[in-house]
Amino acid sequence: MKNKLSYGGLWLYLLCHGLTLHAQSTIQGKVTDARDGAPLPGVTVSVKGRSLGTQTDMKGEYRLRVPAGQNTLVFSFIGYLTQEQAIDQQTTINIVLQEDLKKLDEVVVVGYGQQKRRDVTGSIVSIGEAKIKQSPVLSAAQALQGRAPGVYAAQSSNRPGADARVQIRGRRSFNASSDPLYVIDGIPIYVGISELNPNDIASMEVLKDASATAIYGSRGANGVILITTKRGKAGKVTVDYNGYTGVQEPLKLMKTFDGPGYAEYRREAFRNTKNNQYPSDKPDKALDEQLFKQDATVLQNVLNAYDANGNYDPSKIRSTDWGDLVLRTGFIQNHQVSVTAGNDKTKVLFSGSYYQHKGIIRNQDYTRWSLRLNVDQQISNAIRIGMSSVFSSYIQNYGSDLYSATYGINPLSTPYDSSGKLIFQPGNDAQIYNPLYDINGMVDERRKFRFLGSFFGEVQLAEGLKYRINFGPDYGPYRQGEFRSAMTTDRKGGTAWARIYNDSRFAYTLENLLFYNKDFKDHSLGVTLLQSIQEERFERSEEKAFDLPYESQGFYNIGTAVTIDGISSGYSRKRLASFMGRINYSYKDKYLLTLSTRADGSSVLASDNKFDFFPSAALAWRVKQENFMQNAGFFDDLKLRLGYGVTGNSSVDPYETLGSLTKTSYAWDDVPAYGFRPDKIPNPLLHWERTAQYNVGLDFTLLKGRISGTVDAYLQRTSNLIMDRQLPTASGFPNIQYNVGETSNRGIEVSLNTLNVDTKSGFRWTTDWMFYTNRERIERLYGGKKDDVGNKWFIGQPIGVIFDYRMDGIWQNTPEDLALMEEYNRNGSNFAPGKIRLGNVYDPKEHKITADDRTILGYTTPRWIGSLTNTFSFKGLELMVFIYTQQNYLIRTDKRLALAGRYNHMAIDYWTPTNTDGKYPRPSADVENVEFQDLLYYEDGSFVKVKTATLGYNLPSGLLNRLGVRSMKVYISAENPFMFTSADSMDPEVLNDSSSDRNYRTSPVSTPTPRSFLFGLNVGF
Amino acid sequence: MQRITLYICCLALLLSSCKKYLEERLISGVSYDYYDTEDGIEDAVNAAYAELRYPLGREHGFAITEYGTDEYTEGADGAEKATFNQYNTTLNANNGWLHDIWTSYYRGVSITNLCISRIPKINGVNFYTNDANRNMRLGEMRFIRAYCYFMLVQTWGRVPLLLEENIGVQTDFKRAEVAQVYDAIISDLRFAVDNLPATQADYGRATKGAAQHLLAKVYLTRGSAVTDQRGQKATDMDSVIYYGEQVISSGNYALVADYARLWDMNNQKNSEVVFAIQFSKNLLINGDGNKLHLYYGMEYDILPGMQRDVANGRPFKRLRPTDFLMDAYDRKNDSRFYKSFKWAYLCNNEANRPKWDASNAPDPSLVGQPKFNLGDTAVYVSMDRLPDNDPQRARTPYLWISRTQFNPKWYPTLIKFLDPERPDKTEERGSRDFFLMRLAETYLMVAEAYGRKGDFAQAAAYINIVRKRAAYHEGEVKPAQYYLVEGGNPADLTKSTEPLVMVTAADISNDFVNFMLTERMLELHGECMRWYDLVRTEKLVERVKAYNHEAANIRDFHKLRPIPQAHIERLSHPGPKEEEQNPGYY
Repeated sequence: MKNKLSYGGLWLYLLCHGLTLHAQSTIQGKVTDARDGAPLPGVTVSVKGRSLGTQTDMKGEYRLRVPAGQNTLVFSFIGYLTQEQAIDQQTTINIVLQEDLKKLDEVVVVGYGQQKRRDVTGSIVSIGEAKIKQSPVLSAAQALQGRAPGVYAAQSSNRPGADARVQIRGRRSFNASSDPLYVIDGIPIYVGISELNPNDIASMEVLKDASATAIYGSRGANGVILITTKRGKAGKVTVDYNGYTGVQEPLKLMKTFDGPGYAEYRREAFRNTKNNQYPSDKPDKALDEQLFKQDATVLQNVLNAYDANGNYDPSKIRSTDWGDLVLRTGFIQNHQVSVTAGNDKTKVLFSGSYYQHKGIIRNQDYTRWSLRLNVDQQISNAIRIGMSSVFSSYIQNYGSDLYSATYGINPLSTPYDSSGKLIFQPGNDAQIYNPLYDINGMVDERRKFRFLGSFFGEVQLAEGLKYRINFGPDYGPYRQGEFRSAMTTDRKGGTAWARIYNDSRFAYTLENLLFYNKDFKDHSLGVTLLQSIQEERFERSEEKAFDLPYESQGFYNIGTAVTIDGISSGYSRKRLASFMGRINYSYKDKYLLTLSTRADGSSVLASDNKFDFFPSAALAWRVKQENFMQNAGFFDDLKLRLGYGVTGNSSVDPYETLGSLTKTSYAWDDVPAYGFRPDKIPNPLLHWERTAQYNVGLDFTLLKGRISGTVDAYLQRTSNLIMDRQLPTASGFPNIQYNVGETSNRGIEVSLNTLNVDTKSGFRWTTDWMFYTNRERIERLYGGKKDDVGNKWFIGQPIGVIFDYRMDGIWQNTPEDLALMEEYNRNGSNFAPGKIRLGNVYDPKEHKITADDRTILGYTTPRWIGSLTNTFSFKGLELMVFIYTQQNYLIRTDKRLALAGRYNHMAIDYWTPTNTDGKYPRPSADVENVEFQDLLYYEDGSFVKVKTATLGYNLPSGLLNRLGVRSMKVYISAENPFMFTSADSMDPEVLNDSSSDRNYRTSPVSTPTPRSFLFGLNVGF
Repeated sequence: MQRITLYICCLALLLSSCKKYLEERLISGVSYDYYDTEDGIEDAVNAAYAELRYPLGREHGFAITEYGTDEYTEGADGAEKATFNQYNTTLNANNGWLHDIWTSYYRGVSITNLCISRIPKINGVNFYTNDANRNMRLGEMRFIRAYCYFMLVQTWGRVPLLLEENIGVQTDFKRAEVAQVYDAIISDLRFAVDNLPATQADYGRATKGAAQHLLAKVYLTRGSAVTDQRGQKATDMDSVIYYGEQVISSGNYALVADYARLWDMNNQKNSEVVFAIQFSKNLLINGDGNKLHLYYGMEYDILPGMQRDVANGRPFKRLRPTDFLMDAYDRKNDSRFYKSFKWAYLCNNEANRPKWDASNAPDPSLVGQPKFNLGDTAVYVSMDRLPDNDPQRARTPYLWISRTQFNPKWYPTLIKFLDPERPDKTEERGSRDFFLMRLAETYLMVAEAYGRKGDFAQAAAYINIVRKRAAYHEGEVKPAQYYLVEGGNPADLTKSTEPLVMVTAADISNDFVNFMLTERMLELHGECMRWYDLVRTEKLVERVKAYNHEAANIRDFHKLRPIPQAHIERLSHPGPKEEEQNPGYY
């Protein structure tokens, strides 16, 4: 026994030796596709009940030695119905496999393993290669959008290279990020996936409920996305090229005042001053000469509108569209070549890719290239090793907020003087500098390299018993170099400034896994055991300086600067040690049970508190297998799932529990007097946030696979929420991280796939429907059931709410309004006709505006998300249209309404004594910020977008065969061709995370969303 | 079997090494035990000083001290002018700036409490080896704690009074009585007076003189109460005189002879400074810097012949002097008026110089020629009242801004905070020390104490010391405005005006408190203390209504600021609104 276990080779020898004692026969044959009769390579042929088997080769042929006494062969292949064939005396068995519309045998990747779809007990969405390839996607995260109910993926910015933000089943935490855990080829990683080329992905599985994610323990609370990259195949060498190229233009722009509009707006702003500085209802030449005299060009431009008789014709005013000056046609291209090769021992995939994106803003672009090598090697019958590795690099020219820098500029001014030179201060305003200088003057170049690997070895220890070791290193140095020339909007003609920032991150995961699978009679048992350690080490350094002696150095010789602005460095390390066990049990293929538990020990928790346990259980009932359902021909399959599990959210930062001090600086005259003041209060009791989740799900297939779908409902309760518990600052501390709060999320997810039309002539129309709604609620805060108004957190409400005064139109110059204003003004308000009128909700009789009058105006996350993907195919042609919507949520669109009459901003319909229907308050040059101006920024963000429309053509194989080409597809695709929304925002979908207020989803003001037109080509040899 | 044992051993080893694997060591930072070392506690002391920079060196600083007073009012720009200058409804408990300042002073309290509790227990190796040194540091910390509470009590009245180290979660605070807070402040400062040395090796640390000056101010503030209850005592004015005169007679301080030299960037370490918050040209130790240079400037930088430069500064146009301030001066004889403001801007931008045209050129040959050259006057701000359409204006090469044309963009710019030593014209982090206490104020405090006791002769004597310095001295060349605008005789251009500015007991005895407020304004305007002076003397509403036209909305309750709502909301057991909030704000 001892020897067998330890010397696998010997054991195998004995096993093989034993087999030779029996009589054998050799069976061979060919497997073909029922659809077109083409040979099927890669089909698994096995002897029923024995772990003996082989695969078909490129010609679809196989050859297998079968021991005597075995009488059934099993043919299985992903996407096809498994077939069993009894063996009599024949030595040749040819098989025709039928496509499986129900996809029950499709293999789904789950945490630490794989399962057939029919055996899955958790809530898992699988997005296969076919879906990913259906239309060109710019990033892996984008491929998730609208394809998985419960998953909310949105761009965090429109900058080329910006990562999409993915959120699974809502937000649970105030403090921790809502990012899911990404697991690439089995290795859980610490930072984003933007470097991954979507073409390298074979499948993505989204694990949503806790029974599926609990095996990732303290990191599983936000859901898990498993990414499996493509691997080599046995057989002929294949070469594939996938590429697309295209152009981009803005989907929607910020509409600012043009020259005549701005001129009139400015006049109105000066009419509405304390001593009416523009005492004329109509444009007046003499008054304009005063009003616009600050800049000669502007003045001349306005005066051009007057003829000799003083008649005013605004069409003679020339406008500069500043926004247009910083935009360009974007350009995007992606090329990937992949090669697979292999035999039954060695399988290799190599791919190289290049992606370039020049943004629609003139100083933003992104270039990424990556090389991938995936290898599998069978060392002996029992031992297999393999690796997947990717080396990638990107250069991002982050640019500046060039587009939003143009909003404020006077459209009457010009960027160039008469000699064609750029004017530094167009309009001669002390605060406005020409952003065209920034195109070359502002450099923010970010470079990142990343090596991400997954190496494994597998040993078959005994029948059904397998040992596996995984090692996954992740190394990524990052550099950000910034340079701002003296002549930029930032440096305003001062001296040049530069900054250099470097960090490096090394993380590794080492896992030991033991798998045991055993079938006996009606019972089937699977056990998985895991021991793992993980570490992430992070270092950074930064230098800033200004007054550079020569600008050509950029940020490459920062030491020559006259003034050093800052130097810093940092280090952190965190580690995780884990143990996990899981049991999968099924009875008669009808009742499926999964039990798991994980123990995570973490370095970032205080020493007495390091370990935590995360259990889960799930039950599935394949109702269709019951006898009473056998006659319900309507259903092809019906499965009910129930799950419960606990997961953690590792939102504790390293050293957080120890408390920390922060550095201060002071000077004795000019002698440094550095110091340290208390920063964070130590909290040795800090531990993970825990999310307990119930999930009930139904998977069904109807009408011979023409309709299939999944419905999931869930309830999550997250407790021990780590909150910045806000303290009265009289204690000297503004907050402490504390496990106190509780939130819940409940939601329903529906996905439905229908085959609407499938004619004999080959026309097919399928629709994928997706609907998702989630309601997040704050259940408890540190004060128990007490709201935290300061943070805008309210019991029973979502985390993200907009809480403010309610705007009730504009005060009118009517006797009733005047009388009412009088009442308010007596209590300290400053109301006047043309100003914002507030809905006084707290005590309308009081006529006093107080903080209590604020109310919850709406929620910042959509109440529901839906998508509809229609695919039409006929012969080789395929048209796919993907429509996506988010409904019923509030956004805050910053319309930049400040300094009316001086700065330009969004063109608005403003109130004047003659335009009393104006929706916006009357401008006043006396006022820097309109009182309550945020109320003008809130708007409903609901939208419907046609996200993608792709028309593709697969060239017929007959033609291709003559050319020696295996397959070829050409397509054209439009990304974001249409958007329907009532919002003023350029794109209510894009959320700006840099907003200082976490509650707001400020609609971006920096970069318009692009609309892309792409041409693509996929060729395989 | 052996092998199984081995497996078990391996597993045991794995689990035991787990503990070690998960150990956490803070390398790049330090934690609280650092404060138990000598180096650590010295760093805590430094951190306490650093906290002083925060509330005054930025926009908050002038907003709560100069906006909404009789001496300054709002300029063209500024996000919070409606709040603090106009006493609008936005001056409420949710105001973020007030919470920032509240937080900063309480951070100062927290760090000084920590130092005060730990300094006695430090195991000295180098500096903390004798009681004198220990007590000196204790004195510094109690000085800063007293200062923080003094600012808190003046701003908000009743505030929580914490005098013990409190590292940990604390959410129950009761507001102490105003009198209790004053008692604590006085106790701290008396300790500081007794234990601080007259001078410190490190320039900028608290000294005996600084503690005495502050203590005198505390007594003056407490004792100025008329209807307010601050725990005032009959002896308060004697205490002002006692501590104030010790500063004056210590021999460590002297008025700078020329008021203009006092504000010279290169004369920051001058004899008049009793205590200054330190800033530095070395940006690495300058923190957020002293940003006050940004706020008082008029919009010169887009005028013909001009562009923004380091010397003239970045004009944020937040504050402009009130008419009351400009007219309170004897502008002819009191040099402080013309020395406080900037009157001319010299051309620094050749490209946008104005050119003579046929209508205004003094000589036809000059038509099309620039009106002036680099370095010549491009803008002149003047106190005359020349009408807009006066023909003189067109014939003058430079832009002549008369008083009739003053507006929120054009007005005399206060020079007290200008910072021509910044490394770059866009740099906001100024290096000018902030003079928190200077000897001229000591004189005025003592004068006020004598006057409040009815001894107007002594009061006049001390006032005259300050006025004497304020006058033009014999031989000093007066500015041209002396005879161009103020009606002076050109023959008197270098004559002393000292006798002309002196006051007598009779001049000041009538309405002494108002006289004293004006007198303090003439010397100290703009120096971020005016609002407190007006509140101290209970003259805020009267004088602001009279002299600050934008602040018409001011009410009696504005003498206290609203307690930050964030504070009240975070209390575990808040009392009723009347208890937790100041009147008028709920």
